[in-house]
Amino acid sequence: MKTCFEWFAALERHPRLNPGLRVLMAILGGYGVAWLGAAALTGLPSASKSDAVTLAMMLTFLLYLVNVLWIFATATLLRAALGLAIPAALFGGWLHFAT
Amino acid sequence: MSLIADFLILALTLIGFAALSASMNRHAKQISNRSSHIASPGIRRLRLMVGWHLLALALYPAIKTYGISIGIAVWIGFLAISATAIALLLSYRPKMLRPVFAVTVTSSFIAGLALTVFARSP
Amino acid sequence: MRFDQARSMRLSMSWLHTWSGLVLGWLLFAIFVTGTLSFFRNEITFWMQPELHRVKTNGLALSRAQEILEQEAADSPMWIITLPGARNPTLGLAWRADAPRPVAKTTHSRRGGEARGENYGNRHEGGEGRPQFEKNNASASAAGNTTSSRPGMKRLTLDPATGEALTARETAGGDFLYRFHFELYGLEPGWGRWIVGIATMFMLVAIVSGVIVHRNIFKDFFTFRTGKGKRSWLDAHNASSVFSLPFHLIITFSGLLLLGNLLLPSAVQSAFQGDSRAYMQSVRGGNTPVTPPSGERAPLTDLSALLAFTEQVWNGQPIGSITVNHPGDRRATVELRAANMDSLMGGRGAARILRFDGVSGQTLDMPAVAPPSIVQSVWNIQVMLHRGFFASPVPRWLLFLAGVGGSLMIATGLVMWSIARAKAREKLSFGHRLVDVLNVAGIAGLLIAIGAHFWANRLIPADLAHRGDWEIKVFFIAWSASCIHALLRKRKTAWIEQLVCAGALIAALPILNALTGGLSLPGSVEQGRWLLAGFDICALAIGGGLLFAAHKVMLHTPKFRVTKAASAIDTESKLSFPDFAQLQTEEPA
Repeated sequence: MKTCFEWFAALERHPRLNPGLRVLMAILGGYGVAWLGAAALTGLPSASKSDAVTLAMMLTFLLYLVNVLWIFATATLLRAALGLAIPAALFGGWLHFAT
Repeated sequence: MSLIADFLILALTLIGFAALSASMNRHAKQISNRSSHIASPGIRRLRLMVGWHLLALALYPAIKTYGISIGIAVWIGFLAISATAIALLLSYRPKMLRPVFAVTVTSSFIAGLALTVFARSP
Repeated sequence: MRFDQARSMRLSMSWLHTWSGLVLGWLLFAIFVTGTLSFFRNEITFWMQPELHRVKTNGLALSRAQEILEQEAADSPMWIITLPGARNPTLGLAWRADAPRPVAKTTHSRRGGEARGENYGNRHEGGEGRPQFEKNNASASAAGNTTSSRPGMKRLTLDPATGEALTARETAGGDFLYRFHFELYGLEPGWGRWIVGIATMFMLVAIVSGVIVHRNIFKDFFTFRTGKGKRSWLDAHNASSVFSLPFHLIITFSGLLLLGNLLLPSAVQSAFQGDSRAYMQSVRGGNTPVTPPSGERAPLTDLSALLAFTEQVWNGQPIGSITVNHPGDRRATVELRAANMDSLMGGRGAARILRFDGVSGQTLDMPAVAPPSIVQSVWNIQVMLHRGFFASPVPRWLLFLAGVGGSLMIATGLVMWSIARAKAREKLSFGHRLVDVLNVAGIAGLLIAIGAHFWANRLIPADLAHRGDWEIKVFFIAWSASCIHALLRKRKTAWIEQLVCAGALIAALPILNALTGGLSLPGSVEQGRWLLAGFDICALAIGGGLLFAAHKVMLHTPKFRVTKAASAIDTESKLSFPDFAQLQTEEPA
C-alpha cells in the first residue's frame, strides 16, 4: 500500500509525466466522455429529434471544454481523473438505463 | 441611408470608447495636456456612465437598420473597430483624441438629425 | 511552473493557453486566414476570371436565358437562374442533369471524389453544392462551357445584357481557399475535416483559457505600449483578441458545431438509431417540399412577367434567384427568392420567397413553415454568422475585419512565444528553433502561397487544361519553398525576406490585374464595381502592411536583459515559462 502511494506521488512529481498524463486525459479521456455525453444528452427534451441532436452537440462541446479546463486546473492527477470518471459514469449510466 | 446609420453606429461607439478610456486614470493622463492630471472621481464616474450608455445607444441605429440578429452582430463589429481606433490613437497620437472627439460628436449629431428627418419623410 | 506544486488557476490556464495555442497555431493561422478570405469567395472567384470583369449589367436578357434553358435543359427536373447582383454581375444558369437525389453532408466518398482529380479545378459552386437557397449568395460563373462541373449540375454563364454565353478561364476560384479552410486539401475524405475539427477544439480551449488568464480585461482594454518588446507584443495579442472576442468565440464554437456530426457521431447514432439519412431530412424539414411531376407536358409561363410582378410586389427589394421545379411539366412551380436575408434566426431558408404556378403564372401560397425552435435559432444564428450569409456588404466587411483581427491574434501569439524566450548568443533549443521555423513558414509563408496562387491565376494560360489544378499546385509549391527557406535562413533574415516577398506579391496584384486583362482599379471604381475594387484595394493594403512589417523587423535590434528573477525561472525546465501575469500589470511609463 505504501509503495503504491509512493509510486503515485512520484508520478505527480515528475515534471514531464504529470502534464503529459493530463494532456492524454484531456484529449482521449475527454473525447470519450464527450462521446458518451453526446449520446446521452440527446435524451433531453426538445422539439424534434434533429433539435435533440443539435442541443446535445452544443452542450457536449461546452462540457468537453469545461472538462479540459478542469483537468489542467485541478490540483492532483487523481482529481483530474475523477473529473473524467464521474461524468463518464453518469453519462454511461444514463445511456444504459434510459435507452 | 444605411451609410448614415453605419456612420452613426461608428461615431457613437467611438465617442463611447473615448469616454470609457478617459474614465481611467492611466489614459486620462495620456489625453490631457497636463501629464499629472488626475480627474476627480465624480468626473471619472460621469465619463464611465456616458461611455457605457453611448455604446448601448449605438445599438439603436444598428437594430433599426439591420434587424435584431444582424444588427447586434454589426454593433459588435463596429465596437471592435472603434476600440481599435481609440487604442491606436491613445498609443500613437494621444493629443489627437480631443479634436477627434469633438468632430465625431458634432458629426454624429448631424447624422442623427439626418436619420430622423429622412425617416419621417415618406 | 510545475503541476505538482500549489498553483493558481491563472497559472494553470496560462500554461494551457500557451500549449494549446502553440501546438497547432500555424494550422489555426492558415484556417483563420483562408476562412477570412472565404467571406469573399464569390468576389475572389470573380476576380480570378478576368474575362468576366467587363460585363455590363444594363438590361436583363431573362427571356434569352429561358430560351437557352428550354433548349438545353428541357428534361431537367430543376433549373436555377441566378440574377446579376452586387456580388456578381453575370447571369448564371444552372440545371440538374439527372433526377434529384438527397444530398447527405456525410457522404464522404462523394466529397473525396470532388476534392481531387480533374473535377476539382473545373468545379465551381457556391457552397456544398446543394442547389438551394445558398445560390442567393453564390456565384454562378463557372467554366464557360457546359461541361459537367459536378455530378448532376450543369452550368452556363451569360452576359445579362445580351444573353450570350461567356467563357471564362477554368479556376477553382475562391472555393479552393474556402474548402481548404475546413477540409484542407488532398487528404483522405474526412481526415482533413477531422484535423480541422481537432484544431478548432484546441482553439476554443486557447481562447477560453486566454480569457481566464487576462485578469484585467477592462483595465487593460486600451493598453497598448509601443516599443517595449515583449510587452508590446503582449498588448498587440491582447488587443487583437479582446476587441473581437465575441466573434472569435462564436466562430470557433460554430465551427465545432458545423463539423459536429463528424466529430461526435454518437449524437445522431443515439437519436436516430444510426440512420443519418433520416437526420439529414429532419434537418431540412423546414424546406418547401417539391410536388412530384405529373408527367404531362405543358409550356412554362414567361419568367420575365413573373419577375416584373415580383419586383413590383417587393417594392424594389433585389431578387436573387429564380428556381423552376419540373419545367415543362403541368405541375411546374417557379420560386423567386429575395437576394437579402432579413434575419439570422431563420437559417438558410429565411429569404423571402414568392411562389408561382409554372404554367399559369398564378401566385401560390407558401406552405406554412414552422418558425424555428429556440435550439434551431441558436444554431442558425451561430452558423449564419460563421458562414457570413449576409447580403449587405457592411456585416460581411465587419466579419472580414474581425477575421483579420483573429489572424493577427494567432500570429502575435506565436511570435510572442518566440520573442519571450529569445536569448542573446545562447543556442536555441530544438523546440524553440522548430517554433521559429514554423512561425515564418506558417505566417509569412502562407501569405506568400496565397499571393503566388493569385499570380498563378493570371499567368497560367487561360486555355491550359486543368489549369485550376495548376493554380492549386503553385499554392503548395510556394508554401513548401517558404518552408525550406525558413529552415535554411536565420530567424530575422527569414522573416524579412519572406515578408518582403509576400508583401510584394500581394501588393502587386492590382497591377497584375490590369496587365492581364482584368478591370483595373481606376476602372472598377469608375464603373462602381466596388467588390472588384475591394479586392485590389485590400491587396494593396495587406501587401503594404506586410512590407511595412518587414521594414520594422529590419530596423529592430533585440535587447536582451536577463534579470536575476528570469534566470532563476529558466533553470527549472528547458522551455521556460515567463509569468505573463507579471508583464500585464505594469503601468505604461
